[in-house]
Amino acid sequence: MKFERDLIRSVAEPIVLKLVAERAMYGYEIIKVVNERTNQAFEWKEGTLYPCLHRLEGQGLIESEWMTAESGKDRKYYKITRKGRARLKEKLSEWSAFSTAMESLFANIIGGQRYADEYTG
Amino acid sequence: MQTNTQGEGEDPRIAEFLNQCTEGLNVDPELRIQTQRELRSHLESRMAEQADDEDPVGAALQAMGPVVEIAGPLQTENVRRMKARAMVRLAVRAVLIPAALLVSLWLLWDAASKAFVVMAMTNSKPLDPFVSLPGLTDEEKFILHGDKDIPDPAERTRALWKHFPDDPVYLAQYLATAASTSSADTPEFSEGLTAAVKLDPDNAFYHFLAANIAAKKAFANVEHDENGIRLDVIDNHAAETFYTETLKAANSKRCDSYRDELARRRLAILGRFPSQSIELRREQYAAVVGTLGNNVTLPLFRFAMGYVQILHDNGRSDEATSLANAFTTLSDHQLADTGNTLIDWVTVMALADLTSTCLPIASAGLPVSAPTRRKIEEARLMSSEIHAHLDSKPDIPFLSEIKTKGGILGAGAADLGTSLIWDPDIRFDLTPGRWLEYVLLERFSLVVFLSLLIVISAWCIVRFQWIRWRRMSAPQGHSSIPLLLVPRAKEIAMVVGVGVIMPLALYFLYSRSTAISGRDFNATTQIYRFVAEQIVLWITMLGTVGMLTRRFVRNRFCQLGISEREENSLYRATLMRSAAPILAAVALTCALIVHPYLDAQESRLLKEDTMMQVDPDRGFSRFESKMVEAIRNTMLAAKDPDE
Repeated sequence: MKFERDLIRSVAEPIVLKLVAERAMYGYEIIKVVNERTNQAFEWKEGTLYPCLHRLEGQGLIESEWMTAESGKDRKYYKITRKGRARLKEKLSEWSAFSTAMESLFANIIGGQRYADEYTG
Repeated sequence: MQTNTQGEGEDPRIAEFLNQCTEGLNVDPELRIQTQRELRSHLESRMAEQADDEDPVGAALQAMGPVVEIAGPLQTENVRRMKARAMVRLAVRAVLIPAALLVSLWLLWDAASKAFVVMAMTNSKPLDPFVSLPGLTDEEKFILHGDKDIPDPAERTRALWKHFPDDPVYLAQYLATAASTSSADTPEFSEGLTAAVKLDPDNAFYHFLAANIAAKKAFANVEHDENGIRLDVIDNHAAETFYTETLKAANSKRCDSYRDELARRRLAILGRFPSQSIELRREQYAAVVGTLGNNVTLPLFRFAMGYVQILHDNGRSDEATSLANAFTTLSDHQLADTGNTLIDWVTVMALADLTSTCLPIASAGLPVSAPTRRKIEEARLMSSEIHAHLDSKPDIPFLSEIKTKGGILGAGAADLGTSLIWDPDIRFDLTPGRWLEYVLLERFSLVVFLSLLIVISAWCIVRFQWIRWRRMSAPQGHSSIPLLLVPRAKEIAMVVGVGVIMPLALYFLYSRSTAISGRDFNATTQIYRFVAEQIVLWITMLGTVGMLTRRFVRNRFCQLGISEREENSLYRATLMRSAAPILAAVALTCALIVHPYLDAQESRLLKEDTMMQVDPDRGFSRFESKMVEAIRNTMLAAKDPDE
């Protein structure tokens, strides 16, 4: 299932924060992890990731450092800052509330539809 | 503008793709290079995954998606960041370096003016620097300095007198200035003397001046020995003038050069300025001004002694006796009515010597009144006792000590007091004054260091431009320009903290702690040590700042991943370009730390320096008062040994 680009973009920030909070990651690795964990559903592209990384770095939520990976290649690793962790916490609780509200909303809508269907039966 | 980061043997499609992706970042070359490097690394990962493909580069590029989907958002997300960074770079180039230059120039002026004042206090032109003080009225400047358009000092003081024709103070200043220069043998000087005698008829000073001028013409081959003064008369007319004027002076009721009044007037003007630097100048001026009166009066007395002897030797006993009596009367008058300035006491000292010379003449059977004879005898006794006392203590340790440890003022004052008895406790008064000298020297050291930083910064900029020009004009041409790397807060804190604050803190701890430095402050004897210490400090600071700057630029440069073949000249030019503002920041930090600290020290030392404290009862300064007190006690003790 493909998602709308705007929807993907709107959740990019908490996703990146969550991933670099787990461990330091470089850009390509983040894309791979996201795509793997979503079974390719998100199918992130570089045009989604790098602007997001630059924005977060500009806001001081993440910081970067060039390091040599196990492969021997230089990679720019991103890791979360203290400010980033605080933002992540906010985002996660916001997302949780949003998700609950949405579920509740959709449950009511779905339940109401069933009732209507039975009543008009 | 292209940013050439293409690797050797790299598929040109990659460089083109990266350039297109980062086109929107071209106003920030560092950000663009960093982003290109990151995207290249990303691309390489994709290529490695698609190594089995026929065209791994093409496949990787396709997987990256359309250029526009990367370039657009990248630019959008970085607009604010690029603007902020551009502002910082502009501030660094347009504000930091000029600010450091201005601060350095201001400190240079400040230190130079203070040093100039100190030097001026020890020679004959003490007031020139004050004229630039803000807030002085034109009339005050005129009083302090005279007409600046008139270069000749005598003419300048004459103009001041002409502006205030009824003021004996300015007239005396003009005549004293003219007498000390070659302007004495002029009609203007004679006019001044005539006016002075009319304006101030009871004052011996003008007759002394006239006698002094005549003495220069009249006598030659002046020799001093234990028998007194011997000289040849080469102009009898001038000698007669000398005699007449000296006699008039001796018969005058008082002798006043008005130097103290002149000084008080000037101090009344300068005293309005509350800053400690002005206070320093004022007090230094006051301490030195007391020494100046001797330049005129003492030589006259010495000549007078010799002349009395000559008159006697040439059979003019009446005149010799008359002059001797006049001198002893003057001496008696001065002894009875001695003021409390140093000049009066030195005058008395000379008078005592004079009367001792006159005594054999005065007592040669010619009529001398009993009271006068008694006074003459007392004066002779006083003079001989003083000399005997001094002869028994030919080496007064404090005098050499004050010369070597007393600093600028101490050394000058010691010359004055070479034949005086000193209160040994006064030596402790000199410690703050010696520190004050060091603070002054440290101001100079700071300025030299700041100038050094400015020169190195300028050299860095020139060098950067040169390398840039060479890169641009190379046959193949280099499209990438050297970068201006602005250090992050942590990096600048490291440079300033370790390169500036820490060495300064260690230096001040070392120099101010006698236990560590083992220093007995003395600018005269320890100037080489001082210079060596300053050079060590400069080298430490410059070396540390240079090393940290190089490390910062190299680290940042490595992060950009610029290829090796580029590194040599591009790295050097980037280092030069980035070092200039860092050095400017170091100069500013240094100035902002050291200047207020030295100001505070100067203020504290001036307060503590008893040598600089005015004693309202005796003379201008406590230093002078001590001297006066010592002379007074010695003379009284010599006069009445039993009391």
